[in-house]
Amino acid sequence: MSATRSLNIGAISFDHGHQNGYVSALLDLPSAQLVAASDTIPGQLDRMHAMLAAHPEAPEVKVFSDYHELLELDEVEAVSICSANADHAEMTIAAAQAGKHVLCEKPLSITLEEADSMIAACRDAGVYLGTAYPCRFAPVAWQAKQRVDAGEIGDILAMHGTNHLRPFTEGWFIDPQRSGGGTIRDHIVHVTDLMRWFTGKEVVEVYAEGDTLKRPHIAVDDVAILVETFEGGIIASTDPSWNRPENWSKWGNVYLRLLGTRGMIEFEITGQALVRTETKSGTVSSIDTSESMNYYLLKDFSEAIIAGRSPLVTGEDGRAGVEAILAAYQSIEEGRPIRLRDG
Amino acid sequence: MAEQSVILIGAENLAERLEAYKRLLPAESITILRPDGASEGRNTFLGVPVAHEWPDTSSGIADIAGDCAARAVSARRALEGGWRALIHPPFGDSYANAEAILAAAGGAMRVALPVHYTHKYETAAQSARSGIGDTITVRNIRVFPPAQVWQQSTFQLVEALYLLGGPIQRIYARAAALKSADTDTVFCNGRYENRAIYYGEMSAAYPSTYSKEVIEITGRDGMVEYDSNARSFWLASESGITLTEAYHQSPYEKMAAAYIESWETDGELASELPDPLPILRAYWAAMESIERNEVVAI
Repeated sequence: MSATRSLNIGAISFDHGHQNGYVSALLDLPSAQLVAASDTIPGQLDRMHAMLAAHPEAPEVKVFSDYHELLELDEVEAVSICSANADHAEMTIAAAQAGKHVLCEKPLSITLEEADSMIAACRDAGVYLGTAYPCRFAPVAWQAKQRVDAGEIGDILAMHGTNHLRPFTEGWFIDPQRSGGGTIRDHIVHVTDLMRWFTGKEVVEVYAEGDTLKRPHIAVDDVAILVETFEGGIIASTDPSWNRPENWSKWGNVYLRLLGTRGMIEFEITGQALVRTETKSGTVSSIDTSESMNYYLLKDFSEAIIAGRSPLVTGEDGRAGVEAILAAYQSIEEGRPIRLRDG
Repeated sequence: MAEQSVILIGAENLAERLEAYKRLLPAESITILRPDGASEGRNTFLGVPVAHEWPDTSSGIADIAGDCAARAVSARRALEGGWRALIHPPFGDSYANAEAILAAAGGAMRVALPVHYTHKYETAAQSARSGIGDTITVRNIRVFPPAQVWQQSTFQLVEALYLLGGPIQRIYARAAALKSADTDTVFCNGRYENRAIYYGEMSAAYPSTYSKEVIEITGRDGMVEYDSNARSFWLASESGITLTEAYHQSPYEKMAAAYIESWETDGELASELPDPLPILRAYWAAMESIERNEVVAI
């Protein structure tokens, strides 16, 4: 649906660099515009100011150091929250109570209790809560999902995903009090969400190995591997490690391989997908696109709010990611697979 | 290499095993044995005679694969007849049983470990010792269309993980029968004794047009990466990026030559052969984990 008007969005906190990606998308998006921004550290707004200065149609953006002042602006209809993980709950609840719709950066929260409070606060205030899982909006993932939904590879039987990164996480990312954990907290949510989205199934069981081995001096985990079971007995695994070398050719990756009853599909969100279906001729086809997933994430969020519907990725989706994170950490601590539900 | 008589038992990878021996030994010294009593079927395979009775010769090498339950029986028969046995794992019905079979055989039995003689895996293991620092993660993925040699492949997954990362401390494994009546897919993860984390995936449930092999070792200072979608190994270390050609070369000739030579030298070279016991232990631990859905410490 084309937007009939533009949603006014405030950007709260640039602790997570993804906020700059969202600002960049907002500058080009017809259905939303940036009207305000806040951060307690002025320097963290420098990149936003540079983007605004370079854009020919940049809006006027009000800037605050205290996000509560941003929330007092009547013209702000929704906020994008990209703070350290530990602040997500407080900021989301404050925004909901101020009547603002919320797009919250992943992972949604540190604890399930926080996630439940955030969901409840938004529901009670009559505003929508979305979780920023941009990978769903990578065009290659989006199109792969359409083909899976069309039955091209049949029912999904097994999955493997990775979300690697070079070891450049610093600051609050490696402060366990502010982040709630390392590579497991930061990375399994993307892959787990894609797996949930593609299968329509929830995680049933998790066995995880995790440790701090790439950079032993940091206080959070930086390598991990999970073996998971989804409802219906779908077997899966995820490698979320921050273990790529400094001179690796890319920042990292988000890769997914799905095996179905009639074929398979694999893709990396910044590149190409290959679809192979089980026919006599072994049909192979590809999807090749690398447009901005942030653009489509904000497009869905803003158009959903304008249309009065929930965004594609909800607070409940964010909560499911937190559930998987906590199961992984519990598995590491207890040295056993953690059962989350029957399935 | 001194003249040896060789009998080959078991159908899996038979052509590849046979070609390896044909390059090492005179063709007339090689026989394929079907010890199951079957008297029908072809009399030759790739120009080599197929026998249905154990030969009268009292010395030689029996290369034993085939039905897993029958491998130990064939090996015992070979040893009782004065032969040496190269047995393809898994064999026996438990680690303790496999260990006892090996101990009873003494130096007359060797365990076939073809991954150790596979160029890509040798290259990865060697590269990891040259400039990537302490190993922190290992991933080995081998997914391919339905194949018959399933149980042996599961063993080879464990063998590969051992070769790439060293002694395994614990294992968690899941198995599934996705496209056949028997297990065709195994996922496993766990720890090495040096704390590094590993992931192994083997599946024979993929479409006929697809296969993928990933060999990846990351270290504190770099990584070695092979993806069958590319031709080369990437070795990223502090000194930069090095590309090493990856190619397929049958491991069986190299493996058979190493084992034959170790016997010909009366065991002098035996210490240079890979030790099968830690791999057998890890394999049976994986089987136990699959059965109990628990992590199994080794």
